[in-house]
Amino acid sequence: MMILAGRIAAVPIRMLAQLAGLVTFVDELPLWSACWRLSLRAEDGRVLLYQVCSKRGIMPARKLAEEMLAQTKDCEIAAAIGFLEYAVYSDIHSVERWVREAKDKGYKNQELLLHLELILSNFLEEYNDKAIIEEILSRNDLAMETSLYALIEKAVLYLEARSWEQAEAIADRILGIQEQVDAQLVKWTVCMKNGDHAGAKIHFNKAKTLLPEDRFNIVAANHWLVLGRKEKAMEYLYAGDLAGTRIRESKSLLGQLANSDEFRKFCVEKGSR
Amino acid sequence: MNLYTALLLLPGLIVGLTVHEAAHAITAKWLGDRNPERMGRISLNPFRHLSPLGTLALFILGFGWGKPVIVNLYNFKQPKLYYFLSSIAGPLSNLILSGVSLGILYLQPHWIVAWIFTSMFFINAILAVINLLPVPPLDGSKIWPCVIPGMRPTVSGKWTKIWMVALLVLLFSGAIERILGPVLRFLYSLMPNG
Repeated sequence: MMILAGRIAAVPIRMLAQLAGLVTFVDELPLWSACWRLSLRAEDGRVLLYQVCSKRGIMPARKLAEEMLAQTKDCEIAAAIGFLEYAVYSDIHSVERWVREAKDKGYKNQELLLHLELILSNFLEEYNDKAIIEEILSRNDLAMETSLYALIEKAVLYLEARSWEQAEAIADRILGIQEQVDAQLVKWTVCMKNGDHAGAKIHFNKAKTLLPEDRFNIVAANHWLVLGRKEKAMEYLYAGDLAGTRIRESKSLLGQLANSDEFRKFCVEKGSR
Repeated sequence: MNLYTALLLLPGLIVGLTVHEAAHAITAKWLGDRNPERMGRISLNPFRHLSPLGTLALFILGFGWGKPVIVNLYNFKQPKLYYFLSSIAGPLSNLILSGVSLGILYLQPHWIVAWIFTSMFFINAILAVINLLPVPPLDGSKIWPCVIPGMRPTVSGKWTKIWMVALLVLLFSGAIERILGPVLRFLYSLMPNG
């Protein structure tokens, strides 16, 4: 009864908080805080976490997330704080701690952790990318971003295994739905492999417009590497945002290249970095 | 819009927007996407579907919208066709509700019932028409790309901003009124005492 009363009382406050978000002169944070305290819904908690993180930083957000997890026992909260740790601070080990804690304690809605687990599989050996991809793609209740991410990772795995047709089929499926940089680069890689340089140029130029240059260079470097063009891959890697993408921590082939003596030598030759 | 008209429209608004958004979610589930179900959108609880901005817009501008139902197009076997069907389900449900309400009004019910169904008749018809405009966040922005050959079903963020500006121009230039005016006149002519 108390829970129901709290949820009903939270409705007008949620509406006010959403309206306050449309103007700059009202601080929506106290409203979201009140809304969460009344409703104790993970959905409201997630919004409050984003607000706290953007306005007060990660430390208060972490403390709040712990309190929310104890209340809701819902992986939606662990996923929200995990995404913040990754997107804002690129802190892989903190992401892993949130995922592990939510799984170990058996919190509900564990499928919401799959996206983070797939991110972790790029960095940590204990997360099996192929198994996670298949689990995501076998479900029909996850967010579009999660399915998209799994499809891209699957296409890249196909490219690495030289299964060009399967990779291209995935890219075509993605591009039939939305414009997407990785899918364009998969198409570019396949065109290059088939010697279709005109087609490759179209896809490469399209891809280039979809990301900031330093981020794009890292993604493109990976595709040069798949094509076996290590020199080109190092050029793009050198021009890319090495720190922002945490590529040096990645266990991928590109991560190995970024940590290699060969790349260090390349950087020295190009200039200090 | 004055308070009297706003109160007059309230039942139609609540029922119309709730059924509209639930229709999107139910159709998406039928077509293979359970993401809206997981987000609690297969429900006739109005609080799950009303958007504060869309509700406010209805009282200020005379039309509104609900909280969008987010679907995962990768769960659809035929993304363009199924996205079209799940998107058009909302306006279609409003059209059906509007027709049923008109039918009930012809039965000459008690004035309270007549008030509720008059409100439902008008609001649902307006919701159906306005939602066909190709302007985000309205359903038309999802429906039209699905029927235009060669267009992707999802509109990029860049285009969304352009369309939002177009919506504001439509509002402040009075073009929306020019669209709604004939619709309202037509609806009045359909009323039992029209």
